[in-house]
Amino acid sequence: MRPQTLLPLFVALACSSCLTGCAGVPSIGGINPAALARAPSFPRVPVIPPSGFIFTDVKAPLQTSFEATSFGSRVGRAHTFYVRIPIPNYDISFAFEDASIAKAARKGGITQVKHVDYEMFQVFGLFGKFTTVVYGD
Amino acid sequence: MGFVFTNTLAPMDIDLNNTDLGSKRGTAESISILGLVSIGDASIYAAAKSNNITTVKHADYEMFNVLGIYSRFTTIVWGD
Repeated sequence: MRPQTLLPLFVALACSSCLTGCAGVPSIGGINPAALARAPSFPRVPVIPPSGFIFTDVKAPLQTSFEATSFGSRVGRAHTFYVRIPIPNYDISFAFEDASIAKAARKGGITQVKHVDYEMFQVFGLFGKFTTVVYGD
Repeated sequence: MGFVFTNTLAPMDIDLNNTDLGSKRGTAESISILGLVSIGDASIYAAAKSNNITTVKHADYEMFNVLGIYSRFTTIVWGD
């Protein structure tokens, strides 16, 4: 195969690797700066699975310390939302709502929290939803 | 993390004082294609449910990546 025909392939691979290099590396025990840069309202989470620039719909642990962790019989969810309006030279974005553990527990009728996961949904960085998922009794 | 290829496992839980792994292992994963689309459930709950684990005692994770084209993140839980 001639080098000219390989060039687009290498460019595509480099671009994809760059994208996942920025967005695809999971962050364990810390913050992924790239994820924060893309979504300023992204909460502090210990584990960020590889994310997608166009579309992300993933669930991951919000807690990474386990000592005989059970889940209980109830589940409670609470959300925050992020909306960005792409206007040239301006970055107009909104983030609102309450995804606290307390609210998720209250919504699920949970008085004793046993474990917490989270859900992250985003489309093109324009709309994002972060959900705290609380398990307990 | 390797630029061309990655297939690594590492601890997610680093509080290991007298940790007993239990008898069961459960997994849950999310994938990313070209860094553009990412889907999946890699939560602790999903991993535990995959092998009927009711008590989670420890968690590890696995990262698999080929040239940034395909990435897979797997949560691995241990318990009973």
